[in-house]
Amino acid sequence: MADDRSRTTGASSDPVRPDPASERVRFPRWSNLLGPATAVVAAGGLLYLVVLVTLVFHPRNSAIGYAPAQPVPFSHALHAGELGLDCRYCHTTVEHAAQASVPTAETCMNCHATIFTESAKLLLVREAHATGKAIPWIRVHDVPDYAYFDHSAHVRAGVGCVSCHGRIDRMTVVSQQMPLTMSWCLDCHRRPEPHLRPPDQVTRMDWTPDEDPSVLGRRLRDVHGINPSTDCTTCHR
Amino acid sequence: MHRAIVLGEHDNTAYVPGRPTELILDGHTFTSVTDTVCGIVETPRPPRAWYIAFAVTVSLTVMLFAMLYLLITRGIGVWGVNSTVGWGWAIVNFVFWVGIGHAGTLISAILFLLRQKWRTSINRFAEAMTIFAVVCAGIFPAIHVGRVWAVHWLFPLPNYHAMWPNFRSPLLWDVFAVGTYATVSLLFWYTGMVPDLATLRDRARTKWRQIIYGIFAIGWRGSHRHWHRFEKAYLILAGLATPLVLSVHSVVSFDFAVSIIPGWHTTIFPPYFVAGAVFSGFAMVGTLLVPARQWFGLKPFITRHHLDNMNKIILATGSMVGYAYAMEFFIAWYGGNAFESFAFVNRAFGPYAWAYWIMISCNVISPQLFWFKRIRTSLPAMWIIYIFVNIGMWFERFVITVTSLSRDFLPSSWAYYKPTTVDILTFAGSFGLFFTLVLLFVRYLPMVAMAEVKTVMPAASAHGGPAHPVGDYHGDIPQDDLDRGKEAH
Amino acid sequence: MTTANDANLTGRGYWRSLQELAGSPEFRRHLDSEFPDGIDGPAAGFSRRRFLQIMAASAAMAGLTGCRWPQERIIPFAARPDGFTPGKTQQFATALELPGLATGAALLVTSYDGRPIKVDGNPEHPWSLGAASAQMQASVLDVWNVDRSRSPVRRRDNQEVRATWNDFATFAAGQFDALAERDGRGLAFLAGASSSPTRARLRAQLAARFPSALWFRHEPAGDHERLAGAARAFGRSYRDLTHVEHARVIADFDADLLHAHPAALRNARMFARGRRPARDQMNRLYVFESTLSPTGAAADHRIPLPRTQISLALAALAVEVFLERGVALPDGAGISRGELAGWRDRVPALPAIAALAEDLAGRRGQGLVVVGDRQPAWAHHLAAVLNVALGNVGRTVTFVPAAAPDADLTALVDALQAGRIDTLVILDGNPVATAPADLDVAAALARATVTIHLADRLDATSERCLWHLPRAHYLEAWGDALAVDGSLLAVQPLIEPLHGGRSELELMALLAGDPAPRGYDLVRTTFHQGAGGRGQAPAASPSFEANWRRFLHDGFTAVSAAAAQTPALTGAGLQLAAAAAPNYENLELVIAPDPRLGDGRFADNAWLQELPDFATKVVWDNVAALSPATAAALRVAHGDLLELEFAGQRQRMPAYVLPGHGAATVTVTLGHGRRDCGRVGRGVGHDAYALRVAAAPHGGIGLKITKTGHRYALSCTQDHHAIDPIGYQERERRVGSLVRQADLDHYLAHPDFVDHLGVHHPPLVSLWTEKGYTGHKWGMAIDLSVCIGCNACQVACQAENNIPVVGKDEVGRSREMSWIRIDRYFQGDPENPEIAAQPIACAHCELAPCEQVCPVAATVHTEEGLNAMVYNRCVGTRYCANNCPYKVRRFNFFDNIKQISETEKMRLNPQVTVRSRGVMEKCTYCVQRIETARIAAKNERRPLRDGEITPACAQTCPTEAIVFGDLNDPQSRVSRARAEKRSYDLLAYLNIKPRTSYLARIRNPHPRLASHGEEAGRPSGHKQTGA
Repeated sequence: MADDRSRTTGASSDPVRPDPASERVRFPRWSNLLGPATAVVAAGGLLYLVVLVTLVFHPRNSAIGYAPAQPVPFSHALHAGELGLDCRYCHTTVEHAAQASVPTAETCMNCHATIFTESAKLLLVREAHATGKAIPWIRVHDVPDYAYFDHSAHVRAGVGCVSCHGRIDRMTVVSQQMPLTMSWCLDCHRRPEPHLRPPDQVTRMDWTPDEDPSVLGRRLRDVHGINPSTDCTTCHR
Repeated sequence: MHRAIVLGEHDNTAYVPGRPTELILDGHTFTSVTDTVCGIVETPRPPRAWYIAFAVTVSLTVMLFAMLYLLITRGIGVWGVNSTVGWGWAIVNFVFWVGIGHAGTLISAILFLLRQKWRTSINRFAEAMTIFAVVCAGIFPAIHVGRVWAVHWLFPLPNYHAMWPNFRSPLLWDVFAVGTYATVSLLFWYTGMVPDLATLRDRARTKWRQIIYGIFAIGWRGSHRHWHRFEKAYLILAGLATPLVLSVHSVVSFDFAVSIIPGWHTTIFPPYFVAGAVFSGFAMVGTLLVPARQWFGLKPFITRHHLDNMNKIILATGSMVGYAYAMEFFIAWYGGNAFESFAFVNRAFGPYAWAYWIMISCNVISPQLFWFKRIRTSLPAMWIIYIFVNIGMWFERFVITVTSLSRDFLPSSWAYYKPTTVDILTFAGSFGLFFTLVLLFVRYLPMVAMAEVKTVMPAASAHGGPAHPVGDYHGDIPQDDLDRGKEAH
Repeated sequence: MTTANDANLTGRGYWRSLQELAGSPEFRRHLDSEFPDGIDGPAAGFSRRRFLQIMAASAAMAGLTGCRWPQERIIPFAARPDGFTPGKTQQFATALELPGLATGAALLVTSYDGRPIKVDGNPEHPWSLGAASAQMQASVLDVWNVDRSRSPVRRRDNQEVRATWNDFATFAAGQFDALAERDGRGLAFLAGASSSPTRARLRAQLAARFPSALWFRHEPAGDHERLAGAARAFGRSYRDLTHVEHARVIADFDADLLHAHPAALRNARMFARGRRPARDQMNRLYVFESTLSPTGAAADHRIPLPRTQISLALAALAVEVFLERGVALPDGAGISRGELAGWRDRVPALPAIAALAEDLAGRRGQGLVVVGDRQPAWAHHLAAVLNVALGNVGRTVTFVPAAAPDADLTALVDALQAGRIDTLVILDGNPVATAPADLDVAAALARATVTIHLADRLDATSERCLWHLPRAHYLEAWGDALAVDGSLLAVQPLIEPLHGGRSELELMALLAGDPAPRGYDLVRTTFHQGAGGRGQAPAASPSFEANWRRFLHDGFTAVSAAAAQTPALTGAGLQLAAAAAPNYENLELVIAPDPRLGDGRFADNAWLQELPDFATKVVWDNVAALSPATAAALRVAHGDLLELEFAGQRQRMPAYVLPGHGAATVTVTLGHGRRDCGRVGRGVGHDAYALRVAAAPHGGIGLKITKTGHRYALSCTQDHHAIDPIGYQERERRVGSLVRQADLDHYLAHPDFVDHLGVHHPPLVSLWTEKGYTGHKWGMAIDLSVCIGCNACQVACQAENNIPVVGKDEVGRSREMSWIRIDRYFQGDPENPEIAAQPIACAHCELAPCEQVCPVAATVHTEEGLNAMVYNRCVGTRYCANNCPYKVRRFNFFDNIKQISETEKMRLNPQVTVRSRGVMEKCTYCVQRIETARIAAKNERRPLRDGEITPACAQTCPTEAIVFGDLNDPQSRVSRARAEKRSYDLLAYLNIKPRTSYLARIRNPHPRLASHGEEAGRPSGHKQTGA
């Protein structure tokens, strides 16, 4: 049944043409592995991509640790840590405005009019104070422009500075400690208790509750009626 | 049975009791079938006509991508859409192409399960067309969004915004429906093609053809076991694909039916969209097959009987669509909702009446001619009607999408939608892409499912009696074949 | 976020540092791209959007760091001013002198980081009450306009040479010392109308230094007739001060009392307060006007007449009042009963007049007759007589002394031609462009050897003057003004002059001999001398300082009610003048200042250009409006380009068929088609000054119209395309259910009439249990009884929410971006239809159709029921807009914001996200204000108070038509409004539960005329039901 063959692989015995077996490609046995191999490569590649995206490009890894060199080598470790200045001494508006506000040259000069008056590091500060020309600080904690964060709301609610900024009092150069991603914000907005503390303790970097944090958190939450919203409009306007 | 109606072709459309319809004519044998079908693919150089056509379609495709570039760099504003009519040609084209994609699955799946033997000659072609149509359709939902670079948000991927898509949105259902449909159709098409690819491999003269066809034939040797698995897989895929025929366009229709816009908010949409889809699908298959069978000498395979059957289906679905149009009007009136009834009065007599009447005459009136056998079997006539149906079905989507939006609830925001050149060129470009793919298909892949056609030839039956339906091969394949198959490796 | 970054340096100091920055290459690029000295930028790519011809230079960004977004810099003050908190807005009281009206409006301007970003009315001031007109609010945009002139320019042999103020000072010193020696002979000043006491003082100084200097006044849209009429009636020029709160019957003769009138803001507020729909509590408004004004639309009776016939209608009223109603003629009426009787058959017989007379005579002391600036002096005189006779003077109308107008432009031109002037100082205005067409100012200017022009732009007049001097914007300069009631207003700068401009006052002082005048000192001195201080203690004394501080803080010093005068009639003869009525062979032309662009001063203001005209809804254009019957008679179709010929002058304008327009009358508006302004307004529309002649500044009979055979494409925000019969009928059928209204009597008889006007539907049930709202539940109510469609809310929203301007072509494609729009419907007789205005913005439906269909959950519901639109999540499928039954969602088809200049970006409100291309946007109920108020309340651990949150639209609404608040608080104003019987939801049958509801419109027609209302499609039970 020659016809029948032509339906399968029978072209070889086809009488109409000379047997082209001589130049016929024969796939070697190992080529049977091609199928599974392709599958493995594909799957592996996909996995690799996922890992790459989630691990490398995720803000948790791309943003955390961002510590640009500032025009003036101001050390929080020294001022907030060793000297123990309260955050609010410089970041004056943090309790009643959206922005914590970077201190003015005047604020610096309050002390440095008498201390390290000759220090080269403070050249820009003195110049700013004299000429009124601002110091161009570089923003470290930067959320997108379409996300509206309000310091006062959080500070008044008793969220410690350390919750978002980390141990500033140990940083010679300020660096970002938290991913500042939306999901990270949501974690706290959904379950704020662990981050709540008595409002008068917000600026204490080394504060630890003298009772079960979860209990305290729940109490503070009830007392101050803190119920953070997860509505989009809370942050996006 | 009276021969020679036109072009002296043999007419096998008549039903003769006690005698099976001859589906393959001119006394073709298995070998000659193989030779004819593979011959088209194996000719060293296709006819000049093919090159000319290819040049045209490719340049159209290039224009498509030029338009997409313009769109993505400048913004949706390059289209004619406005605040009132938010969806224009892009969505119309999407629904149009998806609809066309329906004939493929219908023929491969449903007709297969119904053991309609005549499908074997046309299913390969129809399936191919389905894939290409879905490719064209797939472009539009992706590019019609304002921010293409964020379109992946439509998929439920893990992300650090802790955001998921909105599973209540019909657009999201679309993503899944069309995605599934495309995947299954592709699998179906490819699976059915494997034996033929093997044949091409074995007949191949050049190394490259051997290697490439070889790879895609995934080691098919035609052994009994291969055939067994093949038939199983094909059957299962057919079973999977069948519900999709209904689901895809039902879901697409939800994009409209789920909304509150008068003229969209209709329960009849799902069945009516499916009928329309099959309708347009068959029309497009016909549009392509009629010339193809002429040029590539496939007349014996794609006979008048086949075309006749297709035309009957077109007649049926066309009438369904017509019924749906009428029912829409009836419900609009019967429902007593003034906004609803105005939407339909406005369709028929408002600023877009011209589009509405094009739709009616093309979709409802022209197919009715198929009641006459003369027309059903006359190639020029049927081809013209196919074209009409294609036009009509595009306008149906246009009428539904645009007229309903242009005048909804508040007269203050009524507006008129006009397409821009970019709209028009993009649509033309999508045809370019479609036909480019079709031309590549006819050049490099078997247009007719040889393996399946053979099963409906008398010779396929052991006793020369009526052919067995596809699926039972016991003892068809002589032992020596199997042996040769073995020693091949 | 909102701190200063590179493009945005903190504080007023920024502008100093701008000068420093100016060296940097990026900044040069900005300047070059933004100020190519009047050369048009290339058309902005694909769509030829005129406004976008200003191609914005790409923002200068600091280098990228890795995968982070651009590095931001924080620029703190070296020394922070007292009371300034970074990122918080400050508000300063100031004032704007309305063009042509010589009265100031008290304003409250919001400043962010030292940049004025929004203008509102001063809520403290009795004649502003927190409201601000569209023009006042839009004026903030002009500060940031990139086409303002940036340095003095001196013309040498027709070459424009950039100069400095010092150059000018030296020049002026020589020139004016010489003039002073010859007592200023040959010196002349041309100025606009102004109420500024300081200007008056400086003028006196100039007069002292140059005794024989001449002084001329030019105001294209002035109030000469009003002043002349008052002068004739009372012996000196007064401006009438309307007290609408006391008026029960208001007769408005072409005065546009609620919109274009000097006291419009307070009038509108008081009119609205007098519209409580209860027996004997509603005032009644009669309006006689030629074209369709917001006041006319709000009227209980509107009688469209040709302009020339309106004064005759007033005469008819006098006849009716004094002869039929037997009201006694007051002493000094200047006209006898006999003379009046002679007019009986020469005045038009109007049913409305009889009714009006009956009302006025029946309510002595509670009526008010006002006449518009475009009516002849005798009409104002007659109105005064009527008001006196009806006992209205002192109750509904008092008088404020006004300076008599100086010689006008015609006199100046004569003087120049006669060679009597060699030095001309133009302190204000643009006479070359805004003079009557038959007055060749350009040629006249050439006769003077020295011409000095102070202007904000290098305009047509500057081009013909020896010196052009940049004028400081009112938000950049010190000054003062008098409000309509005569109270002194402070004009204080919010920012240093961006382009080194100086104020009119500083220039005057300079010419008066002060080498280095400072606006601050000038105003302070005036205040000290008591012009406004009312005899203050000497300077430096603490009480003076205190008064001065309070003055600057409040922005004004109030006047005692006694200041309002009630002068007696002098008895000067009152000559009524007849005027032939126009007919279709002999049409009447009406030339009026544009409601948006005024006399052209605002032509370069993109917000006002894109603000739809109340009546026509046309943007970026002006039209020749005529009534349907007139159009039919003249075989003119909507959109035909016409050639208008009047008194030998010709101009082409597109026809607009406007229902309710005066018969055989064509109205054109000034201010458009300027060739000499910035790129925004240049060549937009058609210049109506070309039709103006000195003899007939407001037009007159004798207009000829010929069709050019061309069609002209107008861009409208409503009725985007010509409507077909089917659509027309359907609209007619629906309006009744969309804008529900009834006569007072009908309402009192059927308080629940609104329920019968909507779609009849089965009880609405949801398939699922709906979410409840336990906390706040924000909602809005809009009272259609008092909405006059003045467009103020639309501009307020635009300023507050950074809504982009898209230009004529885009609006033509119906892609306007305004979040709140005012739907305007005509009903009934096309010649005198009912006009309904309905503000529509996102209704924040509880079962919002848009939310359900968004595939990426970019629009979702908040706990307080806001329909939140999250721009940064939106991918732009536009499905939500399709599914919105109100069609209030707006899509950014192009990168609209990127197209505006770097300078203008300084005005953007940092509290609202700027939307990028491909993003959907819509009204948010000013969620930024809600959040700010909420945080403030939370920080103080107190609940939010009702009225603490006010969206921009509600804040500025002159009639308090828009009320916002908490629906869960039964005492809130919005809850009480919703509790009213006439409250209804738009398209309620869809069961979408909108949070914005409407209060049906109640009218108070005269019982005898009410039937007319019924015919005009007022609801009579179910007949009207829209569906």
